[in-house]
Amino acid sequence: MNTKLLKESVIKAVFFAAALSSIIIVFYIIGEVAYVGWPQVSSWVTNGFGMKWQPSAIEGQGVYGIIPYMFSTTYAGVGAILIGALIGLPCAIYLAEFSNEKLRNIVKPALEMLTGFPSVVIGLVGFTLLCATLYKYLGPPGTTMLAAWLVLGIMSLPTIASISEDALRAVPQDQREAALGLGATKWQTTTRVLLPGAKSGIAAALLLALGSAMGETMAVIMVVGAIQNPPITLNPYVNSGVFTGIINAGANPDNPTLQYKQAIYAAGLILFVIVAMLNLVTRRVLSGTKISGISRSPKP
Amino acid sequence: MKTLRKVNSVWTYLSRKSKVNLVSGSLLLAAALCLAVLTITALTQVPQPKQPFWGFYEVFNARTGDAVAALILLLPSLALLMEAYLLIEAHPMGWKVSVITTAAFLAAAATNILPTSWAISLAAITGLASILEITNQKRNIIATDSPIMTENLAKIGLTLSAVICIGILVGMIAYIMVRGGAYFNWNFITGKWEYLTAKKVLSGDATGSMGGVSDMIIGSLMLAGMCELVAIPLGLGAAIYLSEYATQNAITDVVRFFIETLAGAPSVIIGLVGAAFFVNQLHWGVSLLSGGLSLAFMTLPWNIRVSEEAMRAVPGSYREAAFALGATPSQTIAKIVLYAAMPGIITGIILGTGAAIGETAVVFFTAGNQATSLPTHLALTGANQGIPSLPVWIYITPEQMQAAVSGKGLTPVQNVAFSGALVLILIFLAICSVGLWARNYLSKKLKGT
Repeated sequence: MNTKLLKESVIKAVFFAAALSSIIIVFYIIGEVAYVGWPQVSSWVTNGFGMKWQPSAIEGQGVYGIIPYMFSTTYAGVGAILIGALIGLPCAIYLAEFSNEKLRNIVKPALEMLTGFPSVVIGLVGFTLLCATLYKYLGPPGTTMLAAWLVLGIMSLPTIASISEDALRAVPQDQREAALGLGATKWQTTTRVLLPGAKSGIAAALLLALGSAMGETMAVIMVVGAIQNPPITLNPYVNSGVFTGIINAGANPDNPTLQYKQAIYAAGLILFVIVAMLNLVTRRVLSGTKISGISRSPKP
Repeated sequence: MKTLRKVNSVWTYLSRKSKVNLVSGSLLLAAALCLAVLTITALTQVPQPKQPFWGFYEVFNARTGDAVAALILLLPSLALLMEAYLLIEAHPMGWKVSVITTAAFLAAAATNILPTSWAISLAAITGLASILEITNQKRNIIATDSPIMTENLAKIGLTLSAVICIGILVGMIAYIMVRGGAYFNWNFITGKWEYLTAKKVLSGDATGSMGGVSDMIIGSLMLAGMCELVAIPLGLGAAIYLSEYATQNAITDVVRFFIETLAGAPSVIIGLVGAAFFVNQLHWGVSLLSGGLSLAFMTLPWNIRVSEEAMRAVPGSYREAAFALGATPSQTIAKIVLYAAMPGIITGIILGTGAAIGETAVVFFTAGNQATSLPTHLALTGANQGIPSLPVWIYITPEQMQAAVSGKGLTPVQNVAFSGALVLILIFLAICSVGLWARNYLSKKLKGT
């Protein structure tokens, strides 16, 4: 009997260790990024974040300011979820309230498929089709913040649509029936009962989409122009660059200077902290609701 | 007879409407048509750019792009049409729409998006319409608020957005098929990539076969396999703990928070840290093991989440029945819970694998970003063990070839990359369909039907 109990507790301990593995991984990621990037972060804190990003092959010569990147990354993310919400929210309402079950069973898996769609392929299509078309009609440069908005908006579509749809479906059936029983049309029920009832779920969907849009790498690099020192301007039709772009460009193994390496890790730290904060807020928003996370993106 | 009756009913419909509204509505209709004609003429006269877009601007883009641009540029005419309809209907929403369109046309006049004279005259027409509608509102010559019509309009808009969602996916796949079809054949899937020949063929200096992407396909599959080899046991273990053993308390909350954080971590940062730890610190180099383990970091949270949800969906009565028969917790999990949750777990993991195969940034940092063929002596770790993979190949090929074919148009190079993309999405779609099929098949089998 005793050996049986011992066996059970050993098995439990093994499963607990597996559960701890993701904590260890996250701690390692934060630790590594913070440890290498710390000198740069402390220099940012004491000397200001700086307006110019100019790496140099000579130690001590480079200038690493990231305010432009903070602006452009946020701007890209916000524009993207606006576009995503513009198409995704009506789509979610349609799927949850207006479509029949048959159609929903086709559209929902298709949307979930779009979630895992290889980002490099979306980037390739964005570059050759979207940027070239923008170039023809709006003139140079073609690879712009506008293109990044559109591409990221398309990528955030499935997240927004499917989580909002879950949120709308999670509104109790009684409320729906009460509104319809009072003589409201479906649309009136949607705007006055369901949307207010599902607003925390929809907010969570938007925040989640914002986090993944800001952390997206390949597709954005291919369409945004990826220049150094993106201009701080509200005009979306300019070449720009994002955090993930400088990390991608700087992580080449062709031995960057120590300071450059520190700057890249520090930029990574800031991006990670922003995304983790968004995640924390999303959890708080979602904690009161019954929405499962199953339809969230399998990709960060 | 039938047509006559239809005309008659339209006539009665129109004759019931107010005369002023009818006249100004038809004026708006005419303006909408003029604007549409103007847009289409302007579209046909858009000059080709003086400098081509990195040499990429070719027939494919021209046709597809023109179609999309035409659709977008026709939006103002559509707005005018809608306004005319609302005016004739005397809909209470009409004046709001008119005011907004007037403002939009004035803005267009100020920023020179439309020819100034056109924009101003259109703004004047819509402005008159909005004044008319506001006076109508004051004199109560409006229809009562019609919820049915609003409902129908809303339904059209919502359906349209769903169609756009699916259209984007279908259009993207179709575009990839059309462009990738140029070099897509059996040899492209099974052959080895001949970098130097491909360079010559694409720049038009030689003809012949440039081989295919078989090594990239094998490399991608190996990386995904390596990743799941680690991520499945870890993910299942963590999910079993969270769903079967843990009670809801602060510790599980913390664990869950970290899983969510890892799920949200940008892939480029996972790649950065994976490169720092596996490649440099452990001296494994860019290799199968480094790439696979870094990918596992990315897939792990997904595996935990889908497994946990599948296990939570197993009814509690199953467990209670097992306990009542004297089974230990571990026996219950192994024989009952895992068995009942299998369809969900397998489907989730297969879909996660599909996403892992398409992942670029992580692989780019940890499994090599130059290799286009498998190492001659394949090992888990070591120097010169870079693993070629399809997404990275798609990313680097246009760049590698750009210099070689400069001045000769980059369309062929792009088409080669698109052929790779076609292979990648075919693998991705195949994996997704297997996953969805497995869910149906296994759950049917479990129910015993």
